[in-house]
Amino acid sequence: MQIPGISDLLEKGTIPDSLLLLIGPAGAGKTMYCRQFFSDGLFDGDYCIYISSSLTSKQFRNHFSNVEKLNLVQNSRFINPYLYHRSLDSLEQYSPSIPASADDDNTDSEDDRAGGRMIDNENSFGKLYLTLKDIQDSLAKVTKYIDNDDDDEVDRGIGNVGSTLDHNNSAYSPLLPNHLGNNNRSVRIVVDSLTHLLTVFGESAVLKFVNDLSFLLKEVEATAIFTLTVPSTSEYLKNALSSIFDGIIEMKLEEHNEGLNRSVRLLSIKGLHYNPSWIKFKIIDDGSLAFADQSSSLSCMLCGKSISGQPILDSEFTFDSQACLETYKKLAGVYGSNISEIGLPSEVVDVNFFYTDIVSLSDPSLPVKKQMEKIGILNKMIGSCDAYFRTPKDKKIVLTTGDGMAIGFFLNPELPFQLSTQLHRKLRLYNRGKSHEDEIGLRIGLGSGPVFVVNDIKDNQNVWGPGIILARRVMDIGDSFHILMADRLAEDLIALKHEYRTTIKPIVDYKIKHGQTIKLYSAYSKEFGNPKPPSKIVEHY
Amino acid sequence: MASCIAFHSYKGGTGKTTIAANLAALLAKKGYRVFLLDLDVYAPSLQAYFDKEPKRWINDFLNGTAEVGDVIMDLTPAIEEVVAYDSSNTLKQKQKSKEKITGKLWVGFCSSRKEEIYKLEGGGGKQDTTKIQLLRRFILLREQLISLHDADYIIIDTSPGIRYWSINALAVADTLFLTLKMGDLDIDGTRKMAEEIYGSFTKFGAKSYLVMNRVAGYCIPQHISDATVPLPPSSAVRIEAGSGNTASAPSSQSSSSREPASMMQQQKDESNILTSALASDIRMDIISSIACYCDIQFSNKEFLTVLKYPDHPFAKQFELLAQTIEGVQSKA
Repeated sequence: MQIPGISDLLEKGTIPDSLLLLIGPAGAGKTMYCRQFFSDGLFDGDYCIYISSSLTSKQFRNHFSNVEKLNLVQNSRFINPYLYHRSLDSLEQYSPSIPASADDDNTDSEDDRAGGRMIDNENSFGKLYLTLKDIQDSLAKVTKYIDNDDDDEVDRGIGNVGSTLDHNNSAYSPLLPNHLGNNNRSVRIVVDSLTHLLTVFGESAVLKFVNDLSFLLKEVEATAIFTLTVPSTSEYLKNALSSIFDGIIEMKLEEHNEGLNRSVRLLSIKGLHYNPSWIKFKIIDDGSLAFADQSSSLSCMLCGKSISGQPILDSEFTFDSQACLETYKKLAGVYGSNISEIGLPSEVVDVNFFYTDIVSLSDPSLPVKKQMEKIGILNKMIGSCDAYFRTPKDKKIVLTTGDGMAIGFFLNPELPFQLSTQLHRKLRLYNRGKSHEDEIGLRIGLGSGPVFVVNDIKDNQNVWGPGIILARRVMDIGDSFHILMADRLAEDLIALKHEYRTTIKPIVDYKIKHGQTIKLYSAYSKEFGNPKPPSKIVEHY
Repeated sequence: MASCIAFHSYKGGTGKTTIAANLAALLAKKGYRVFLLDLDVYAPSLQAYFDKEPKRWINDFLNGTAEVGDVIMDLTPAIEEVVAYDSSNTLKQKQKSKEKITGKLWVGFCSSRKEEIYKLEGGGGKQDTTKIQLLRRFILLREQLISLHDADYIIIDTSPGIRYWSINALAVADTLFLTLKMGDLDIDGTRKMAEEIYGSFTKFGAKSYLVMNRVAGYCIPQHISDATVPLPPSSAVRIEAGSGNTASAPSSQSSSSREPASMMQQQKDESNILTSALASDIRMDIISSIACYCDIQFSNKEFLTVLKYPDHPFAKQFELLAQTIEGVQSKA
């Protein structure tokens, strides 16, 4: 399962289905993070439930106006536990203290606020129970683990209460179909926020609710994010809640001269090795989150910081500040004009890049063993292509990227394209007769431009710079079997040989990250490539 | 605009840490946001002045296991706790009330554990590439102190000599203070270092100055002041409470001590000629001459003189140094 920014938060880039507690001060971006997580789920075809005691259905719909309405209706639920208009009869087994005929209406009665509390204890347990049952019913329709007719296992966790529920507080309950396609869908849950639930329902009821819900979610292998505002929550309560979750995501908010800095880190996650370093992010105009992506943005060549403002260019290098530029010059003065001896880049080269990854490799339904097999097959296939193995080691650089690789060819601009076509021919043969699960789908991006050659921390040769970033962005636009090209490389090839004119075709002027527009080309024939326009282009135009 | 000052020397024991710590405290007292960093990575000693045990070290930031906020300690409350004494002559004078510090002082300490020192030398990985990662983090540390913590002054106590971390500390600084201890000058070594290292830095905008420490003229050994008394080692009497720059024998001295005092004056003059020649040779101005104060030098415990004895001539000398730095800064 992917969560926003996971590729920056975790080296591996994916986490198992987990219950995550998202903590941070007010204004840090917790709600926006949840919305992004929820929207991403809807776009990925997951079933998503949003639980909030402070939102109305209308507000919920407005927040997700970016999602296609039908998708939102069919694939999501919104539940506000505070607004249940439901009899609390027959809840004894969930909370023995609840009288047999509790308030028949909802929690907004004056009685609920008696004694200065927003809701009495019995109603707290009752309403949260109804919420839980509602979630259970919804999940039963979309997962194979729970069935309405056989929910004993879940009921053992939440109390075996045979209550029928209406969906009056659901945003789209009248439209919710009984059959939601296959019954083994990935599930995402957002509870935003525990802080508000605690205010409304009290500690003991919320702790029980969260604990019970956690069992339910583990049964269906859901990924869930619960938000909690700290430091306003007591340390005891924070610890008690933390013990229920598989991991904690932490956010922080810092003020500085130019405004607010938001950062997020994965503070803990059970069973995974990780480096809990802070990743900066911004909430952009459309409400989505933009994470500092070290690999695809300009970084200061000296301090490594991602450059947010105007970069300072000097001697073909890019710096974050004048101070970094001066420090670089000073170090160069001391360590020598060729400062490669301390590991700083000493060489800028023009490289032609082939960038590829395996489509849907991160699909959680695909076993890890299968994923590993596919990566191994891809590596072997690339290694057997003429364009690869006939190129001497010192004329190419190979960078693995987890689910794919980037190969830079130092001299010949034809080689990335030749490698792409040779690889596609081999893949077509390999995929022939294979089941969908065993097929390997690739998307390929080609681009050329300058990069800096550096040695990384493991002393492997590495490169970064506009050339490789462009190839990656081009690849990101494509679908399975696309060979997409950035304009400069495509035009160089077309000018080089007539045969390329028939196979490399312009598609559209496309705006990639940071407003940069490129003319995008697609290469295809009967033997390679994908003649269809990329779905991102179709959606965009 | 933030200023980053590095205290460096050719040899150890020149008083870098004492000067850096006192200057940092004084600038905080004057209202600035000051960050004092111990980059004497091979023999860190800054802790002795603050008596604090940090939870995280600068080493942790450099190794990438801590953020900048984790490794800097706000010691403003600690220095506010320092009780000032009304003292111009001895350390046993009337106590003054505590003084409110209007600025802020954060201190980043360096671990003295041998494993940590080994790591900073690139131990545990391919040396060159590990060291460059550490250097990048160090540069990021300076950048974040400025951009995230609004530093007015970053003061770095470096390792002596020409070593990896002292060079790096000098490279990130915009103002370099080369500290020399009178009586233990290594003119040739200092000249060589100044030419080979400082020249590269000043060429790209850094300013460098000499700080003369333990300049003769404030104290004379007792056996010189009173020839009839046997020679108690390290025992001394104070003969003048001046700035330390222009010490001269007081008129109340006995005639028997005039001759030794003039010998002291002669030694001082010779030292001055030597350092002036060095300063001229390596084209550095002497920004401060701090006299040798035995009452501070031989105290059992390190302390921040500028706070504890603000009327002491040592503290007065720091007032002048701070004013000069402020002046340089305002021109920048």
